Amino acid sequence: MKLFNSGSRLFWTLVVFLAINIAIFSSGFYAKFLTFSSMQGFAHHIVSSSKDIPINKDESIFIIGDSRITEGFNAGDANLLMKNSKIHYLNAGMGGASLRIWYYLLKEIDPDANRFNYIVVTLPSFRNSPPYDGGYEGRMLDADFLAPLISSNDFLNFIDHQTGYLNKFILLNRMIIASINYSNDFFDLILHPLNRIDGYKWRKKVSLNYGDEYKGNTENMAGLSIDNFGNIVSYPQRLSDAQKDQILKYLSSIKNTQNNEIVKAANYKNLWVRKILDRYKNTSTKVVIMRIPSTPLPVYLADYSYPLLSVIEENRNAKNLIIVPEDSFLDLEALDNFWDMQHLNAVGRSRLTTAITQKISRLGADK
Amino acid sequence: MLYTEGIFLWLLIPVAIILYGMPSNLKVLWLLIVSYLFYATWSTGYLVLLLAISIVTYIAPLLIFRASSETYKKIFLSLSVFLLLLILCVFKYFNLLEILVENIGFKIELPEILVPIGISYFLFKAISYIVDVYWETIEPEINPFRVFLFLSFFPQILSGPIQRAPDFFSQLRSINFGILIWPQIEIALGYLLLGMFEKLVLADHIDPLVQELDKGGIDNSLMALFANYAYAVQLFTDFAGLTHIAIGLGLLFGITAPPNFARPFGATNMQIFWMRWHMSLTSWLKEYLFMPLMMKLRGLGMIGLWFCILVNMLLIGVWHGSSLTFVMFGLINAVLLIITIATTKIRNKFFKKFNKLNAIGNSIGVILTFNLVVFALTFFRKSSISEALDSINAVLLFNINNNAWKALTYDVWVPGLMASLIGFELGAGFLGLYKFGPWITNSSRSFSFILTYSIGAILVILLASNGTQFIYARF
Repeated sequence: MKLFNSGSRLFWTLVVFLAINIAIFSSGFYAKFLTFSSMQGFAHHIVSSSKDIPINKDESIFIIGDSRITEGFNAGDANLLMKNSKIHYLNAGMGGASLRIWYYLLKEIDPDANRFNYIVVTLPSFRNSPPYDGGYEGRMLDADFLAPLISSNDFLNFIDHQTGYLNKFILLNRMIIASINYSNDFFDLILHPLNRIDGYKWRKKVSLNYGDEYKGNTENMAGLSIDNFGNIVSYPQRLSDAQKDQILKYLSSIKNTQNNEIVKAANYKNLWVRKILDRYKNTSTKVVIMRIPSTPLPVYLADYSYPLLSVIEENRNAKNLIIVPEDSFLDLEALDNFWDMQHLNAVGRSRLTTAITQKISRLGADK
Repeated sequence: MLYTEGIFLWLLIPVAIILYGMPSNLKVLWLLIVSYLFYATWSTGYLVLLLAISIVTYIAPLLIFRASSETYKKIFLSLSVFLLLLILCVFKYFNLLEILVENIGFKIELPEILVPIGISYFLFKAISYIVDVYWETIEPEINPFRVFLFLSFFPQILSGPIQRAPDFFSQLRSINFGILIWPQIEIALGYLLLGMFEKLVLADHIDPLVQELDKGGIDNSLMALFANYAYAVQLFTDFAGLTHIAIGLGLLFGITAPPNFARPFGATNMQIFWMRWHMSLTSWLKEYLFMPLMMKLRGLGMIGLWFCILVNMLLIGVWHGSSLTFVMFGLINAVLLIITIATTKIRNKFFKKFNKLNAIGNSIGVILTFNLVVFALTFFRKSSISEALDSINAVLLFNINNNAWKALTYDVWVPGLMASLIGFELGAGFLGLYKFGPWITNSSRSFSFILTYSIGAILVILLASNGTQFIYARF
């Protein structure tokens, strides 16, 4: 029996297609089962754990940032060090997370801007210096993080802040047809279904303490040296050709950063730090801005030669903002403390964890 | 802009809606504008070339038709076809000149010329139209926009299928052109879905497997062989995907394009294979080259036939590019076809006598044909003759280094193998998967249709690999 004509069959096909997209993908149902090993799944774990974890507001110090702080700070060890004080650290650093991502994620994790005593925003530099955040203003990768996690309104706002009409269009497409955001993950799910089940159980168990057991990468960059012109004189012996090439590319990207790119990056950093500060302006949560060790070659990078971010200059005396002195952890920027060009190793992780706990415990007094 | 890009698919909606709603006398012009805009996303410079070729293709048939004598007709035909072939040679085979000159001991440096995308397809269309008018198969088209659209129709411009002018123009004049016909939209979307599946889910997942097998093939002959097998399936799924997308897109606007494939991997000999593979090109060559040449050489009997096959297959080879590997590809196929035809009588006689062996014979035929196709494609896919010979050598050395298998990545070989098996079945039709399309669009199966199309679309999105360029778009 013919129930539908062709037009209505296609209409109902579209309805079912969109309904499945909404029910499984836009609703966040699928996102619960994302793999922990992707940036997208890792971000989902951090955000959902941060939302679910019981928090004593007066004790909580919520640290946000990218992989530098994930590798460089052990919240478990920090809490042990501070066990006699009323301080509880939560490390929410996630690889690839930008300031823009954190602005939107904070709205999810802390919807009323009142869950944490301190929110520590970690930055690799306080300056308008290359290459940190270069090209971030149009970074499409941000959508991978945000799509499973933020509301439609916020996603529309995110699209509005995206550069380029084509990019905006692509993001809108990803918002309407949410399954597009999960194609890589779905393939992994099909290939490794058992891992996914185990991962799901593990994630539930470890919550935000997933990194407590991790002591850090044991390798270091000893042996790397650079001449006055920025040319590499020697590499650490352990490095493969591919790793050497990576270092070369990293340094050349710093060397070749154009002025307009630095200006764009500065505008980007000022905009999103300001947005985070504005969000907590009239709340009891204090925002801490902290420069963390970001390179094993401080002399070469020399970001002191660049001007300070205007958002830092302007808000120096803001009521609930604490700016940790820029040079607080500079002594950790050494070859022995890093395992690559950006990340602290086990030694650096331990040292920074201790240094941060000491610094944070004095925050009230310093302010 | 790629056919598989989200923005392209979204833009189709307003393009189609505007087309359906506009007066019929403007529909061709609208599609022409859209086609030129689409081509401009690839290259604005070559859009000028396309326009110039379109003008020649419009004027030449009119001159031929109105010529006062057969001599003038021949002159106009020869001049226009020569001009079009010259353009093709300049853009496609110019760099070959450098190699040839180098081979005779001189060195020249010629400027690098990028091949305009789709040039082999739209020039073949142009030539066939001019010849059709000369042969009086059709009268020349008076409306220039129709001729321009024939060459530039955006669903077909990248990689065909190579549609003939009588078929295309008659559809433009049909009352169904540019009209919203829901059953046709259903079929069109089915083709689009199938094409996307073949390209994004199958071909693009086979590609990394081929690369890994190629690496392992240096030490392991079986891996070298499997790399060649997988490439054959990748090429089929990639090109069939592109063709199905082109057919689906055309149908959205009321243009039915000719098919390019009819289960080629199920062919029991090379002759049948070439009747089922890239059919729009082979039928073009058959009509405009092979048959006329056969007529001229009919007095030479079998020798004439073999010569015609040789010329035909060499042209199929060099149509793909100027590399010597394509010449070799054509030559091998010509030899295989000649052997197939030369042994037809013996084979027929044998199977007539032992007709119980027909099934076994067919099975052996399918396996043998597939392997011969794979052998010929080795030259097609490698960038030099020596690379192709190395690849064949790697298979024949019977190296068995089992450690090479261990280097295969699980996340590459599992999806690659699955995609290869499904792709092979689509190309062979043993399990009858090809019957699913007509079955599902039957009007009495609405629930199956709705679920298949909606879930199918979501699965294509979820299983899609990161889109790469279509292999055949570079020809």
